[in-house]
Formats: sequence, C-alpha cells, structure tokens
Amino acid sequence: MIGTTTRTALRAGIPLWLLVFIALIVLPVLSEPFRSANNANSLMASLAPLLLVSAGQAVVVLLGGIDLSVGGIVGLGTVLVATPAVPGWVAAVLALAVGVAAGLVNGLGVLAGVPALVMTLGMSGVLGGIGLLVLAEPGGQVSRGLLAVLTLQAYPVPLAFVVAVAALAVAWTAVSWTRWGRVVLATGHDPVAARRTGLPWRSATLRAYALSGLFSGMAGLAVVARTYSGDSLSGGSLILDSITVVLIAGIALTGGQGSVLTVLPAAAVLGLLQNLIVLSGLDSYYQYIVEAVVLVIAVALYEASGKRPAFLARGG
Amino acid sequence: MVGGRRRRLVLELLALAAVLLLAACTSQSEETGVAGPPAGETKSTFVIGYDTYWLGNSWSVQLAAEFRASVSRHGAQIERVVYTQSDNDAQKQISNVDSMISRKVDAIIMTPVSPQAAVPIIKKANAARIPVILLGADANTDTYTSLVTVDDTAIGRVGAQWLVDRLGGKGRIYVLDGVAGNPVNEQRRAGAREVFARYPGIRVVASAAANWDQAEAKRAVTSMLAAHPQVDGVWSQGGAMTLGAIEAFRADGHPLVPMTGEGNNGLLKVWQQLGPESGFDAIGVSKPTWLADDALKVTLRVLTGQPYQKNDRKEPPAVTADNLPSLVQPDLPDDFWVDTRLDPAQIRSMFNG
Repeated sequence: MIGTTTRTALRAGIPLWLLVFIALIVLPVLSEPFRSANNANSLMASLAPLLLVSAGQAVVVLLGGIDLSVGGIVGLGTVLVATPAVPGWVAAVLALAVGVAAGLVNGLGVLAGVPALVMTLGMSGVLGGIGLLVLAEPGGQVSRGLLAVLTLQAYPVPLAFVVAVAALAVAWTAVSWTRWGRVVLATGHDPVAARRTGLPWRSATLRAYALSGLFSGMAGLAVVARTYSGDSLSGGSLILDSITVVLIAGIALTGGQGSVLTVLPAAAVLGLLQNLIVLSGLDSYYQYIVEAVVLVIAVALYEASGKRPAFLARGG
Repeated sequence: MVGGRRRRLVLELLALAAVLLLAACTSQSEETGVAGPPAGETKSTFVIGYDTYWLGNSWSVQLAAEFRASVSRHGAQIERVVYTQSDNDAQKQISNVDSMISRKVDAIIMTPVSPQAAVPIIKKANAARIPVILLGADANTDTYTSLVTVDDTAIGRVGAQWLVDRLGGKGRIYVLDGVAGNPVNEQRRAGAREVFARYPGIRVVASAAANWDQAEAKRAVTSMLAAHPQVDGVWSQGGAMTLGAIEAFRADGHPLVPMTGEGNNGLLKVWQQLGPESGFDAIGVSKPTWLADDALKVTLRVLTGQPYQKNDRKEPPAVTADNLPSLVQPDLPDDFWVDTRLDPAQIRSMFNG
C-alpha cells in the first residue's frame, strides 16, 4: 500500500520534470546569456543551498511537521565557519554538528508536545541571536584551506551543487525504501494510527528533524562557498523559499503525501524563474509576484488533478 | 479516470510552460542586439550594468535617481543600462552581478552590501575582464577597478572637528550614535573619537546609540539633559537624531547648543527657521548622492581608455550656516538630500514616483 503511495507521489512529479527539461532545452535557444557557462555556474551555485534546505524541509513536512529553524541554522553555520578563532575544518564540522543538535532539540520539543511551528520558530530566534552575538555584522574570515574545498568545481558545475543533489537523492532513497521512511510517511499520514500500531514514531521524528538540521548546516557551507563570509541573517529567505519548493513539489503540508525527489524539479523551477527575471532585466520585485502565482497555480493544479492533499481529503 | 488525470497533467504542464515561456520571451525582447562586438574592436557606446543595492531609505532611492539622471546626461556614450536590484541582500547581489557577467556587459557599477561577501563576485568579474566600479562602499579586495566614495570616517571627523572648533577646543558634549555594530556607525564614530582624543578640553559626558531614529534620540537626550544639564555641544552622526536632540532641548527649555548633523532637508528646514539668534548652529556632513554621477563618469573614462583614479575617496561636502540659505528647500519633503545634481523636474519625479 505504501509502495502505491510512493508511485503516485512520483507520478505527480512528472509534469515538473517535463517542465524543467523543456525549459532547459528552450531557454538556451532563446537567450544568449542563459546558455553561457557562467550563467549555468551561477544558477547551480545559488540552487545548492535551496536544494539542501528544501530536501530537509520535505522530510519534516512528510512527517506532518514544519521546520522554521532552517534559516537560523544556515545563518549560524556561516558565522561559525567565518570565525577566525576556530580552525576551518573544526568550524565546518561544528556547523554540521550544530545543525544536527538543533534538529534533535526541535524533535524533542515536538515529542514533548510543543507544536512544530512554535518549537522551530523559537529555535530560529535562539540560533539567530547566538549568531549575532558571535558576529554582529556580516563578514568574518573563512580559512583559505576550507574555502578552497568548499568552492571546488568542475566548471561550470560547483561541488556544492553536486553534494546538494546527492544529499537530496539520499533523503529520497531513505524515505522511499527504509523502515524509517515508511514510519515517517505513516506518522504524517495518520499520527494517531501510527502511535496505536506501535510504530517507532518517536525515533523517526527525532531523525527527521536531525536530518533537516544537518542539511541546513550543509546549506550554510554552500552559502559560504558563494559569499566567502558569515552572516547570521543570511538564511532568512530560505525559510519561506523551502516551504514554497515543498508545496510546488506537491507535498501536502499536513504530511504523509509526496516525494522528496520532486523537490529537485520544484527547486529548479523556482531557480530558473529567478534567473530568468534577473536576466530579462525585469524589476526584481516581479520575482515575488511570479513565485506566488506559480505556487498558487501549482497547488491548484494538484487539487484539480484529483491528487487531493490530505488536509482537504480529511478536513472536518 | 486515468484519461482524465492525464489530461489534467497536460493542462498543468502547459500552464507552467506558459509562465516560463512568457518570462523567456521578455528576456528575448530585452536581449535584442545585446551580443557584444568581438573583443578588441573599439566601441563608442557601452552596455553598463548597474546594481541598485537597496531602495529601502531616502538616501538609497536618491542615489538610484541620481544615477538614472546621470545616464540621461551621458546618453551619447551609453548603448543600454542593465539594471538589477539587490534588496540589501548580499546573496541576491552576487546573483545579480553574476547575471551581468553572463550578459557580457562592458562595465559593472555596484555598491557592495557586504564588503566581504562582494569579494568573490568582484574577482569573478575581474577574471571575465569586466571593470567593476564601487559606488559609495568599499570591498575587502583591491581587485576592483575604481572606488568612488566618501569615507564615513571622514564624515565623523569633519563634524567632530567643526564642533571642537566651534567650542574653542573646550566643552562638555553629548554623543549620539546610530546602530551599534553597523560598519557606517563604527567608522563615523572612529573618525569623531580620533578628533576628540586630541583635545583634552573636550569631555564626552553622555553617549547613546539612538539607531539613527528621531524619536529614540529625543528620548535619549531628554534623559541626558536630566543627568548632565551642563552641555555645550552635541555630536550626532545622523540628521534625524539631530532633530530629535533639538526637540529634547526645546521641550526641556534648555538653550540650544551647536550640533552636528547630515545634509537632510528636514534638519535644514528646522535650522533655517531657528535662525542664528536661537544659539543653535550646525554642520550637515553627508555622503552625497551625486557620487552615482561621478561613478558613471569614472566608468566611461575607464571604458574609453582615459586616465582615472583607482581610489577616489572624496572629502565630505558640508552644509554650514553660510551656504544653508542657498541649499535648504522649504518646499521639498524632509527626506530630500540637498546636495544633489538632480534638476527640479527629476527631483519632482523622484517624490511623485
């Protein structure tokens, strides 16, 4: 039965995949700057943090939760890496460890009965504040050795992008084919039933939030690969962007429905739109409008296609 | 049933494809004639990339207006300007400038949102042999082509020196800072400290970070007046805070003292109304918005192979009691910056949208 759910979820992503493929064939023909290697490089480098955060967000949303602390983890991660007091490698490991730790605390809070929205929002404030205490203004210094590794690329493909896609693939595989993944989907689909049937939903919850924290920590490193500096507030836009990507990917906000893999084309659509708006010379404020319209159209089409998100199927 | 779903999927695909194509077509129409001539060929008109770092306060809006005005004055040399807007977001600025590199503009003018985060993209433009002109803010690299700015340290220094001279090197003063930790704040503060340190007769009796805000400055100065009623001058690093200080002095019935400020019209209007008999005197030291005009001029010099200065750090222009009557604009809004090269029509259009 869960196998069928996964297949249905995957099928829902087909139009997005097609859209991205068509865009990647049509756009280079239409636009000269778009087909430049520099633009491909820029697009992939800016997509890496969004892919990582969205993949983590997708897992948490599938579980029926939400993670608003992703921005705080990204920001604090960049700050830790840019603090000269800590050697580069230690700082990078520390950024990932802080992400996992923050995720575990989020999970514990949620298990203790604090709503995910409140728990992760609180965590976001705490981490953002710590980041500002360590580094009050954007800047800092990233060690040369670490920076050399973070910015590795097989031009025009940045390492950060490859790692982001790989991480997303791992998360998708884990959700689709492991017992943990089945528990995540079952808990998201019907938490009460999951508890009654004695599924290990507690450890599944902890692991889901820890994974989101880890991916956000990695996203912090991907941001540093682009900015060479730390900024506690640099993850702010990723909070809403990751939720937008998850929704465009057709993952129901109430959990249990959707596929992590679809996050890849969904994030690509968002990234391509931002890229096109900048390249076309349109006022960047149009970006907000276009993204909102795409989001609403996508969700409306999921509705119309009969793949009703759980919150409407179950509502009332 | 299956057929219905398939039809829906096609519908969804078409709708999203339409959105993307629409954007692509806009991009296409904008791109007409963009492809630059082969390298080495001398050009007489240029494509210039201009990144508006922010439109979130009156100064940044006027800076952008000043640039557009300059573009209209230099129309003969400019084929086209590629505009982007960064919302004061360092990552957005990187993507924006990166898009200019993809579009192979002839030169890039930018105001770094973060001096450190701008470094990689400046180096990338450098590698693509595109000159980068920094407007009004520094970056932590020397790989840019030219920097056109007024140092905030100098702004702090000039104001403080005027105040010290006005007080004859001796007196008790209040200090009003902006946002603690903000680079502009720290630099202006450092410039002022450097001057005060040279005059043992100058005593800073109270200081507060009033966040460049008029109401906060009024509150801070009100309590300063209660604790240290003997005061001979105020060093404020922002024009709105100076207005707050004036309000606090008047509410307290305390005679006005010399104060430093900026060249914002709001302060100048009040200053003009008070007149010299009030005991008030001031200096308005600012980073002028016409730096955008100078940045474009330097850019064109670079592109036409004329000599230019790599680091053009100008002395800040000042409004004093002498030139106040000619600069104040009683009919314009408070958040107009008086030291401008905009003509009256351009100023009107800036305030009317």
